[in-house]
Amino acid sequence: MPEAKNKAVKQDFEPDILVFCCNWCSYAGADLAGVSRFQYPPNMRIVRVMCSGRVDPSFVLKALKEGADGVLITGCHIGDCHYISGNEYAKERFEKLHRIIIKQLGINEKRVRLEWVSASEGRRFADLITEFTNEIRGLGPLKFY
Amino acid sequence: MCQLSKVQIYTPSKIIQLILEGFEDKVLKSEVLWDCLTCNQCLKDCPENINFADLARMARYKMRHTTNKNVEELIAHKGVYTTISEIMSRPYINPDRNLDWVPKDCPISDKGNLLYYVGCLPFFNYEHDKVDSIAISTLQILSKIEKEPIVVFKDEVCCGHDLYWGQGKLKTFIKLAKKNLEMFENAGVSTIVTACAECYRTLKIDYPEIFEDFSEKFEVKHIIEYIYEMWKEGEIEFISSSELSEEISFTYHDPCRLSRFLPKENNITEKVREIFKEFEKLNYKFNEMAHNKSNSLCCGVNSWMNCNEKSKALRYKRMLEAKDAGTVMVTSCPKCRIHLSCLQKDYENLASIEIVDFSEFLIKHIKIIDKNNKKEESE
Repeated sequence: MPEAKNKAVKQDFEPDILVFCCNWCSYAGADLAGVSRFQYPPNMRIVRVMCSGRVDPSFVLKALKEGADGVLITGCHIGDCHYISGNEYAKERFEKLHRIIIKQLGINEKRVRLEWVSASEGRRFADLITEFTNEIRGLGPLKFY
Repeated sequence: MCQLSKVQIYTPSKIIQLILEGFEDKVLKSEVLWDCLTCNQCLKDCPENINFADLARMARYKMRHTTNKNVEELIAHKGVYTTISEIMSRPYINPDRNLDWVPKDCPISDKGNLLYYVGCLPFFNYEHDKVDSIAISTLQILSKIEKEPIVVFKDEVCCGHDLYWGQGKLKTFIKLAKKNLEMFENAGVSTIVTACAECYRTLKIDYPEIFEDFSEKFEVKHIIEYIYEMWKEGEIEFISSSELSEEISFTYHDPCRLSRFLPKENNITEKVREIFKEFEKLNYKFNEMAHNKSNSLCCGVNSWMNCNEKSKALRYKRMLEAKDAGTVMVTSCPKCRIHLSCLQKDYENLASIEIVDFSEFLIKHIKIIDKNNKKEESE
């Protein structure tokens, strides 16, 4: 019985996903996806930051601690940053966060991801969210409480 | 005298007086106890033996629930390391530590007699350099002396020290303690060796307060105690490394967790000095800093709380004392090493001092005495 119940829970499971979007590219990309009426799952919440370089690894850890099942950080493509090199910092920090903290904590690395989305890529934003949500749904809840 | 009062207005005696007079609410509301370094210098001079650090810890537990202040602003490194500890306390998390740092000639296993409790060192790699070398040299020393493989856990969790003292998160601390106890029991260890002053104090004194039979089941040793015992038993001797040509003067920074935070019968500060005295034969010169043993100055930060200009001023004072005493500064707390070497990046005049951990300092100078050979020689 408990197994069947678990399965039912897994099928019904709706992940909570936190997305950090940079003000200049990814947020505009999300906007474009909305204006163009591309469909994507409603599981994610967007936090707008001025630059992906603003996203401190502690934000990601705190989100995971407070019950997010996945965290997606998005920013401008390398070379397109409004602040010239913010996304390069983000990339550097993120790789360290991934390698040293997320992996060693035993959290599946697929739950935290860094992607570049530009302002014109509305279609890509919708596809990315759909794909990421399905991936987290497959992984199941992080069970953090 | 309170160490913090050297750099800001802070009067533990006044706070105690206010509490005794019945103004506890006022003290909690003023949130002055967030600033305490919990270094326990005031306990040393207190005629009434008031444990101010314990008081600060309990007040923090209350203040977190009663006041609106955003505590996270006070936590250093934006709370990355304390959040890691909190995540580790959750029952569904099984850390998967990267054991790449383990040297190839050191055999390790998951079950056995002697456990090396690494602590959070592999996570500190995130922002700090060369912290792995503490773990490497400690493990090398241990596997040199012990014949059996040393136990190193792949899923070791934090001891909870920083949450307990820094933020008064008692429940999370107990969760971590239970997780740790279960792991120790499953692995069948009887001796726990650690190179971290904070882990040592937590395992030695705080855990037995939660679990009554903890101290009967497990023997907790700091690497200093372990080496001291082995040396007294005649298992090891100290040799000079060939590179030394001229005399090196060095000094020792006593971490608060190994001096003021231990009961008086635990004379770890004397043991380490006895070992250093032996080093004087090896072309080393041991100098005391102006403040030493249980009087030693604080490294300025405790449990990742309040890393600000005041703690920097305290560290600067400590480093100036070290500069007068020698060229090498040995400490036995990884966090003291991290904090003090952080200051060296800002001040060129202090960059010449080499700050090393106790295990890093000893690794080149330990030689096992082969008892069989010795007997043959005497015959």
